[in-house]
Amino acid sequence: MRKLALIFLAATIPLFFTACFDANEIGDFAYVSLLGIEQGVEDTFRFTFQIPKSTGGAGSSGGSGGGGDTEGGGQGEEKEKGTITIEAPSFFSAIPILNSNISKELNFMHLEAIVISEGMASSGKIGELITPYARFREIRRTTKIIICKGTAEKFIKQVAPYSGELVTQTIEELIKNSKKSSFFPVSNLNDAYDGTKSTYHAFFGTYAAINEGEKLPEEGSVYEGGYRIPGDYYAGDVPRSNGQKFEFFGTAVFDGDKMVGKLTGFETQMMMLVRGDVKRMSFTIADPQKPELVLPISIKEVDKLKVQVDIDGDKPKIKLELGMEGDIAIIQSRINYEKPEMKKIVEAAFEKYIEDGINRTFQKCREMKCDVFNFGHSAVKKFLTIPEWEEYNWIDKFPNSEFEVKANFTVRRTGKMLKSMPVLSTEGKE
Amino acid sequence: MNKECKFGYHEAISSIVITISIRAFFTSAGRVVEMVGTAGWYMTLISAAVASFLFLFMYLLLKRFPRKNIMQINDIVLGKWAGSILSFILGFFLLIIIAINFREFTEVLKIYVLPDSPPSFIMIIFMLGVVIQTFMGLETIVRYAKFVVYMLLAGYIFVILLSVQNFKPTQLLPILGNGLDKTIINGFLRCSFYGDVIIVGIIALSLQGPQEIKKIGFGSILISGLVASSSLLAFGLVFPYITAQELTSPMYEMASLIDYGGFLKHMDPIFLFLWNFGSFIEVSLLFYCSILVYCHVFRITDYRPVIIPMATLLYSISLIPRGISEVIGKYVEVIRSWGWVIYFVPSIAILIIAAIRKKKGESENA
Repeated sequence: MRKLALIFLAATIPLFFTACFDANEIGDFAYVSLLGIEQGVEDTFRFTFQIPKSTGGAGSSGGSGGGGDTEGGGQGEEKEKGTITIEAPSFFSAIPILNSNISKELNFMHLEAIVISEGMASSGKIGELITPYARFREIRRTTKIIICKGTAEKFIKQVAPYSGELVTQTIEELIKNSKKSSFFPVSNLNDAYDGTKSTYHAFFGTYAAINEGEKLPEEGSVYEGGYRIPGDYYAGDVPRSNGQKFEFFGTAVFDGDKMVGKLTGFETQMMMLVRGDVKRMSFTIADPQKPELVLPISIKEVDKLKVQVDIDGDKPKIKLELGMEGDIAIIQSRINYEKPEMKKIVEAAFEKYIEDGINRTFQKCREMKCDVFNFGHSAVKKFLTIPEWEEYNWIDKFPNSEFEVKANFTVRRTGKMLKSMPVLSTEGKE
Repeated sequence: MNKECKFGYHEAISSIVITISIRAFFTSAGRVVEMVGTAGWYMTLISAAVASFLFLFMYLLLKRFPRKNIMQINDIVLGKWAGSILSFILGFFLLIIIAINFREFTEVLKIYVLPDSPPSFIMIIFMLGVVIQTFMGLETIVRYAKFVVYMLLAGYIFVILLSVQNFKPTQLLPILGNGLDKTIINGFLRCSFYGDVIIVGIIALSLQGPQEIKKIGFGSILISGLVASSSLLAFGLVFPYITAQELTSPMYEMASLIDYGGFLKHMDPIFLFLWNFGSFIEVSLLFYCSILVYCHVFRITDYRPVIIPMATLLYSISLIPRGISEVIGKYVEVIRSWGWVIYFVPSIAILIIAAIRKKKGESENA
């Protein structure tokens, strides 16, 4: 009986004392979903906080101050977001100032992304400002890092839920699309922290911008410019209108903690292909026999990359072999590329397209002195100890490296058709 | 009364493995990376091998004196006074170890989970459980350890498996870390990590003879070595050596990095579960052992009246370090690097003295 009583005591006592000091109700906090950072005017930094509020019909969570925007959510539910902007010498001085201004306490446990303005990223202050966030308990290392064109404040104000979702859900879903389109990479606080200090590779982040539809002229003469590489532009330049006002497209590249350049959506595809980050993606090449038409190709499988780094001599020599297989998605020209001998033409054209794309991206990154391809992870295999590796200094050697790429592509399938018959009209056979 | 209960090797191995392995989840991992870089995962296997070798002497000592614990053996070989002094040093050392580990646990918990709670609050609540557990006796502690070890193991494997998404094998390169010499030297010195296997000698009377002591001792070191090595390997695969050494609790950070979209993320609470239960068993078992040693030294037949004063002492010692930097930089470091002197050297010395003085226990079959 005594033992039972003791067991009961041991089991129940902790329940009465759990987290007395740290106990909080969910309504005590204003959960920040997006945090914007840029250089300030009145003080060193300008911080913008987006705090979404879900308000049901009956009750309402308290106000969070700032400029509130309401987005139509449908089904009797409103998805509302509030943004607050403040200037302060540091993030940790901004929080208490804001906490004295709003009825709830700011909480960053569910922070989805940190948005940094391009100006701020290029100033080299990421190391001072962003990486110390890895120390802050409330901010998880899985928080995504986004570099935005223009001001972070304006960008965050434009981030709205899509089709009745929550803001966090919209961001999450959009980030997932990186795996499908590979036009932008995904990086988080952990990547930022590691990347800025890494001896193996450079850090890169998602590049984003507001797209007001200015790149899509409503009127004009018909385009006759011929084939253009799809996605070869930066965020904000995508020729589209309507939809979300913000977009992720391209990559912001960092040398240490300073943004030194950016990659277009197409270059980002090449980067992710070389890194082995994606297994499936789509490309559109010019038709090898009718260059005015296009030939979309869908990559279904990327083999394990073969990367060889030769460190003998002054310049590292990088050799990359890339094996892919995929399907022809569409044949606009109706040329019978389905035939085995014709497939080879497509394969050779696609291999050249990929090799040229990778070479172009490599040259650009070499000029930026940033190994975003993870070649350092192959180079390190040549070293036995950390002092030897650090003495070699891969980050320093990379800009002098020589590069060679060989792509191998095999057409596996040709969609739902086995051959293409010519179009017949009164003018005769095509 | 200090009744010596009997229990099987499953219970003993479970409790000792938890007591040893739980430390890999705290600040030690980061320090290991700082010392040997990417070689931490096999450095700890060197430590385990060295600890096994040193434990061999304790086993031979316990085999030489069957049905005796190391405090009784100290008395037989060195005489009452010298033996008691040696035992007292061991008991006090254990108390210091618990106090430091306890404070380390409190500080890490405060950093990651309970930032607003005063350390004293966390410690008192925790101590309350430890005191009750100790009152219940050794059998309760070890049986509880056997009960939770499967859950802890499942949680640990779950966290490791889910972390596979963040594994980058090349981060374990260069394979020799800061140099083979440093790895071997630190591997030898850090054998103290497995020093808690000394518990086998303290609770020897509750175990089923030398053969089982052998199985428990070596088995505990082997399993703990595998757990420590796999945890160092896993976090080495997740964090590059540069940033891994900066982390307060790399394993917790590793768990918090798990992110399978909206479906599965924020897995750090699983780790809290491992931390709390594991630390609870560790502190309870070591606390019980230090009381056992103390009671033996001062010929106290009933250990229970000693529990509360010892708990107060433990609490007070735990509050001595000024903060986590002092706990890690000063105390934990000294214990991990030089603890083997108190953990293993006395057994070797006693065995040699016993051989010289031709002291031997009664035959097991007598």
